Amino acid sequence: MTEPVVRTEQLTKRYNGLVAVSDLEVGVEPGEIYGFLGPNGAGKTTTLLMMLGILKPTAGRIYLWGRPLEDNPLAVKRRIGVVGEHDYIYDHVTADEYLRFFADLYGVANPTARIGALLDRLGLLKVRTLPARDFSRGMKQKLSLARALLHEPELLLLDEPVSGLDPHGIVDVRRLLLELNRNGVTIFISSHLLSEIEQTAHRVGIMHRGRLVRQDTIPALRALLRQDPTLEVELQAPVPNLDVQLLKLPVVRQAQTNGRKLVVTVASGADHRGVISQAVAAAGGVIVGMHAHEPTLEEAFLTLTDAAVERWVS
Amino acid sequence: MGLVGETPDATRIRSAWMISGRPTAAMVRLDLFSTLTALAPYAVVAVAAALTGFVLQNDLNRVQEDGLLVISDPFAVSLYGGVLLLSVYLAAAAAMVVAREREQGAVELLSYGPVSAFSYLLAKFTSHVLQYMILVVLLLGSYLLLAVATGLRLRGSTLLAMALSIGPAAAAAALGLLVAALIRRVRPTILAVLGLALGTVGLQVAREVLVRLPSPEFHVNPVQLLRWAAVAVSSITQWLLPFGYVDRELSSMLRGDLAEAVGVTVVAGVYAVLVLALAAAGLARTGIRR
Repeated sequence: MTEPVVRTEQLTKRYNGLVAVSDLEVGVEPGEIYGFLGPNGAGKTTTLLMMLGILKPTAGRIYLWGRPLEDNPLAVKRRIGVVGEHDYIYDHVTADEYLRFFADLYGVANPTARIGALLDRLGLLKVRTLPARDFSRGMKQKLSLARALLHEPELLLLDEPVSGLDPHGIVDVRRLLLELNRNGVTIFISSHLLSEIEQTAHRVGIMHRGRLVRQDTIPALRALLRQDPTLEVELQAPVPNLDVQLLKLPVVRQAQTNGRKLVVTVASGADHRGVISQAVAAAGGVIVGMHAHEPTLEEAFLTLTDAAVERWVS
Repeated sequence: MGLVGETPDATRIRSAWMISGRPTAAMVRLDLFSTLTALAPYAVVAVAAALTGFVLQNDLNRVQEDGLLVISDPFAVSLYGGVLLLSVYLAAAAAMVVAREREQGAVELLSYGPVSAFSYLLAKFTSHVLQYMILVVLLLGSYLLLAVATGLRLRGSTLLAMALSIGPAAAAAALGLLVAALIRRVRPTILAVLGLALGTVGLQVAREVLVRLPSPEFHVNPVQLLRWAAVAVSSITQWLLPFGYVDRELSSMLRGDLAEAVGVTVVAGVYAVLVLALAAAGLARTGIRR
């Protein structure tokens, strides 16, 4: 059986009694894109920094390629590429000099060709001789990614890699990550954007208040987070007790009237607009308009309350 | 992987170079590039050279006024001031670079890769010692120009004293790194380094003044007490702080005691290594995060 590239064992970090990460058990398989999802402050960055040995865990262990991180952290880190949430860019040097420094640091063979290829791939070739202080946030983010890829790492640890990028940049980076993954690079992406993770990751771990509340594949997660669709109905005139009558229908989960406006949540899996129309007509109502709204996975995730997450935990 | 025919020792050395040596060398190169393209180091040398010019001019005026000035080495005072100034600058610069890079997140960024707290500090230390060597050569150049311009002789012992000052200067750089590793923030770090430097010099001056003061004939003699206190404290700081090593090395050299000057330089080097190790432990303990 292949060892996971990253494995944490009851990983815990506390700051003065405040729990940042609690008993985290994560496993990232070789060749996988693992999305580490959670709102800001969920403990994602703390976990990432512990994986790099920058923060010392209060308890628990981290294994990289089957060996404890503390065995030989410097040798292990040569196999990892990292993009941090707020990477510092030496602003007095040009993009080219910046990458040359890191190529030197990692001992990259034929750095000129490698740097040129990466800058070209990330659309930074034309600005390679400009000082980094003149770069936009998106360009700096791309430069950080180029830096992380310089030494052809086997594992990429990315903390919010598309933050600051414009839509074109996001698509570029997403394509690059998928291409790298096809070439065998294992990728661990930490993000608070479900939409981003959804389009790249094979598996997702959801963090909430320092705890891993769910770890699953994207389809399984999608099924879990799926919410019932809502029908927004506009009536010609208010109909008394319409909501009570609609709730008697087996497909109706919730019904709420507000004057001429009716909002009905129906069971997912089929189109129930006909059933609702007939029921409204039977109650003496006249429908002026009807609009169906199916929540996206992102909306479903965002509308999940803390209570719901806590239910998963329990 | 080792090369064919390579001994295990050679493989180990290659591996150590790849893991620690190469990153350190890369950081030293970047640091030197950044420092030598900045204005501050040259400004410090310019100030030291200007002070030397002022001292020499003063000496020449006295010769013109009195007809005679007995002085063993016309560059002695300037050398003392120049080396002390460069050492204080070096300690402050080393401290500021580390505190600033930690505050900005550069240290964290380097730690994503194959850089340990020790190799990071070793790189800073090495680049600052190399920077000092360049600055001392520039200062020496200014002395040579002044010697030619004034007709005063630059003695071999002055050159040797400058060369040996590298030990105390290395100790000063190491102290700057230790302060930055422990304090974290830029401004308090600089203030602490300058405070230590001024404190050492002030203590030394106070000691010299108190030693020369006549003691009143009281039962409890306050001057005597202060003198003892100043001597006791400065005896400790002379060994604990690098600026004391600058003083001892130059004093030995100007007295013509080469063996003692070499000894002080060696001890300063040992001090630098110990303080560097302490700084690495301090940085690992206080954390590299901004």
